[in-house]
Amino acid sequence: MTSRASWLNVSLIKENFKRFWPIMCGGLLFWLVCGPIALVLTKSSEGYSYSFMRSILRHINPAPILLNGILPVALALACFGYLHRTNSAGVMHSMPFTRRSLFLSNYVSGLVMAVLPVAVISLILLVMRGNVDIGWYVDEPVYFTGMNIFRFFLEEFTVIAFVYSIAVFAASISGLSVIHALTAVALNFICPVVYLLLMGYMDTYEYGFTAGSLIEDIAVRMNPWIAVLAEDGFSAKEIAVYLLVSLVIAIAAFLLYKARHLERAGESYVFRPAKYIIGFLMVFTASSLTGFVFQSSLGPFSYLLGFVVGYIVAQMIVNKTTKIFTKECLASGLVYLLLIAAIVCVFRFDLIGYQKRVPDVDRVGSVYITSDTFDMGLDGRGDMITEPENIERVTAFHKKIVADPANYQDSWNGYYTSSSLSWDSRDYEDPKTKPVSFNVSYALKNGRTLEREYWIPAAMLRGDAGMRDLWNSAENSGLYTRLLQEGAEGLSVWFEGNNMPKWLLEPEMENYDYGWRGFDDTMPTGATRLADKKALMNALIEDIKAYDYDRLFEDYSELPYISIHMDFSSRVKPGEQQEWESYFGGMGYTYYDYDDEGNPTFKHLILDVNANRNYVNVLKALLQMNFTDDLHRAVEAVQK
Amino acid sequence: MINVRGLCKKFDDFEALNNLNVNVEKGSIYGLIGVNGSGKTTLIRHLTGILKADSGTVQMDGQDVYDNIDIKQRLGYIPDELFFFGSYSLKSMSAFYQGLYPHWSANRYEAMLDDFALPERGKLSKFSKGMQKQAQFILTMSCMPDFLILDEPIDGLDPIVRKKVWKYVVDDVAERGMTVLVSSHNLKEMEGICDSIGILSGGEMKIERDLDELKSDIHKVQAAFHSAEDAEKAFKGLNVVHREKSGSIEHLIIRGAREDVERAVYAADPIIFDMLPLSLEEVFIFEMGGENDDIQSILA
Repeated sequence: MTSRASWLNVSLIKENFKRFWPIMCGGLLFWLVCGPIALVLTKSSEGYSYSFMRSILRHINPAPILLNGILPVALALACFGYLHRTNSAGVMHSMPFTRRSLFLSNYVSGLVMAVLPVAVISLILLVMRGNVDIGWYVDEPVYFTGMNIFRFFLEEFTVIAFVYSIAVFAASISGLSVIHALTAVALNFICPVVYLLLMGYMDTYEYGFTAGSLIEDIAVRMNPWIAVLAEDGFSAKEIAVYLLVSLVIAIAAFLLYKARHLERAGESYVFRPAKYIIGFLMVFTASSLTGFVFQSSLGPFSYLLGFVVGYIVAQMIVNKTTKIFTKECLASGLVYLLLIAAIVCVFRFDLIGYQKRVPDVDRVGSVYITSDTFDMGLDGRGDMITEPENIERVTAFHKKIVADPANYQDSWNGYYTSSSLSWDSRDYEDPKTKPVSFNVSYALKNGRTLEREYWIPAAMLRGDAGMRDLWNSAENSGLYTRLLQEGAEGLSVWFEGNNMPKWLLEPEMENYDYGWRGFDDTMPTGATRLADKKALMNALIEDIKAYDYDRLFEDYSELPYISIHMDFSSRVKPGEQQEWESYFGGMGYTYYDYDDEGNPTFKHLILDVNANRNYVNVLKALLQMNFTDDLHRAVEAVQK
Repeated sequence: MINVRGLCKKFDDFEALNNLNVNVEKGSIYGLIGVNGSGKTTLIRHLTGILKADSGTVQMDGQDVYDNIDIKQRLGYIPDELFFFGSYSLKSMSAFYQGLYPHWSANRYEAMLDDFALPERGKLSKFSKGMQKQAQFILTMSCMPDFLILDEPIDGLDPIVRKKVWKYVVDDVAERGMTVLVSSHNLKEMEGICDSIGILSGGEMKIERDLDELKSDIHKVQAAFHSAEDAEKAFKGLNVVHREKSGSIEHLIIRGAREDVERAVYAADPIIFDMLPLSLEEVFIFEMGGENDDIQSILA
């Protein structure tokens, strides 16, 4: 029976502060040196260093990031260290505390000590902000504001609360201080690592899997300590989610603390399931890594190699002994092996049905096709395909790809995956086996996205009537030209020559037969040469319209070409949304100019076109314009 | 009073305590003895609220001990392995205890500090084992506990300090009605202060009795008779638990009332008859089924 329902014990909290204040003050000193003191030292006549200020408030400075990992773990080790020795665990629990008050008092005191340094630093920065000006760059928003300092504190608090809760969770399950510290750090990475390993299996075995930057982003965002490195900070929603997860972790830590077997202090982990789960994760990680790295040379034995190493290390750590070939250890090892084999089988034999998944046409809102094989993307003339007829052409071709990928296996000398197939692994001179990339991204009507990335024989794509019809469809040919019809007045153009013959190269490239050549010729923004710019745009539109489907499959890599760099700039209208999308598989992109207050002023749409001999109209137009002899001679070289 | 009923505790597959019952009367000193691994410390860790019972109850004054702040504020505990906060002195530990125990007596603390002559500001971690034990004793007794649980309290203490420690304990029992449970292997000293004894073996309570009653119930007898028939006649009907002969002298351990034994032996007209009560240590060795050599030492 609990007669007094006290949640916190003030005496214990005070005692914790008395005992562990040096750790907190060490953190504060570290922050002072990395923050305000360094800021004062970097001050110039123009004010405080903008970039330094930004590095602190945007968590780019590596020193505080390191501190965010060390300080909460050190304080959890200090406040919960008594759990890891039988005598201290016994004495503390025989004193007039409930387990709840003991846990909460230690949790709160550690958290407050971990947060106080950054709270003090935030206050100091707030005071400094009111008294100084700060320099800043023209294309970046101002950072040294009260709101940003508050946001900085909130983000730091989120990171600290998360890392500290994990460290306390580690305290609840571990029986040794060394294991506590290692577990506290390792648990921060457990979710990202497991996620990345599973994505690794997808990448290795699932035909069509695309490992884009989104995966890294998801992995990073699983832990705020790592996520601050993304520089763009946290949204309010992210902060709420991280704090909620921290709370859930803390509650789990408390429940485990209550159920903890104090007599097991001195063992690596005080809960048997924790021992097995952590042991498995270690073995799984080691096995997966060697599997990914050595699979091509060792086959299934590559997993076994990591399994053996992981088994030895994991059993030694979780059982705190070198006697790792006991009946119990071997039994758990066998279970680990079976689990890993099951996981590999799930992906190897596509038991999740990933490979064959192609959406029904009526579920697709739009589809986007790209290829990094062609000088002009498959999407070539535009971005989103929305016509049902065209969507059906894409899904039909997609179904053809996934129908039986094993058909390509023999001729391609390898299994179809995005990572294991590379240009070097096959004869791409042979038109029958020459691979091309084919990436498809469906925007489904339910708001989700389905993306796949394939290497397929070029002949397969070239011979597909549906894809040929798609290329020639009105929707496809209309999209590219729409973009080029942006206002010519805001356009500026400059040129480069590539694969140029020796006699046109820069003097410093005298040892090369072919190479790069720059030109002085430009077409500036505004009314100057407006007619020429319009003529160039029209010529480009004509050439793109005339771009034949078969021409996609020809190799132009050694032909000379003129790179035409176009910058369409336009004033940003009030309230206009900023768009950062890229166009034409990366050939085009946008960026913005900002005013003194960080508001966007001009939007720039950059588009680069490599005009080779197929751009007949563009080359002809350039020859008719008033440019230097160098550019004219380069154009003539391209025409030949 | 301290009351344990049907206490069971398992550590994985090892059964540390099995259906254990303990009764300690209010204002008495209870000696808990047993061989190593018999479950003494496990029982003590239940009595101090450190461990939670798998089944059964552990109560003091009718209240469960586990997670009960009211009881724990009235409970003093000196473990075998001490623990103090790193770099703390007796003074700083006393300040911590003062915040936790509402019955803390500053007068008692000052008086004991003088009596034991310990440096109040010295780091406890620099103290010898015996000094640390004294420091813990001062802290615990200054809490003015109603229940005192001692695990090897005099281990490492010199005889003078041991005497002081027992004096404080006995005085508090007499004056304040403190209830004490003490576990120690020093059975000679236990015999001098305990009111009752519990002998623990294999996680079960083998014997739990008043000490005087326990000792008066078992005797060491040496006797010689005119004939073997006389000897058989003398011991017939008595509860002889051990018997051996050395020459013409019979050495026996007999359980039963002293008067009954005397009456039976005298009736056989012994040539020699000597009867002594067993010491606690001897009772313990005998009850724990000591080896023949141990029994020999009792009978010698």
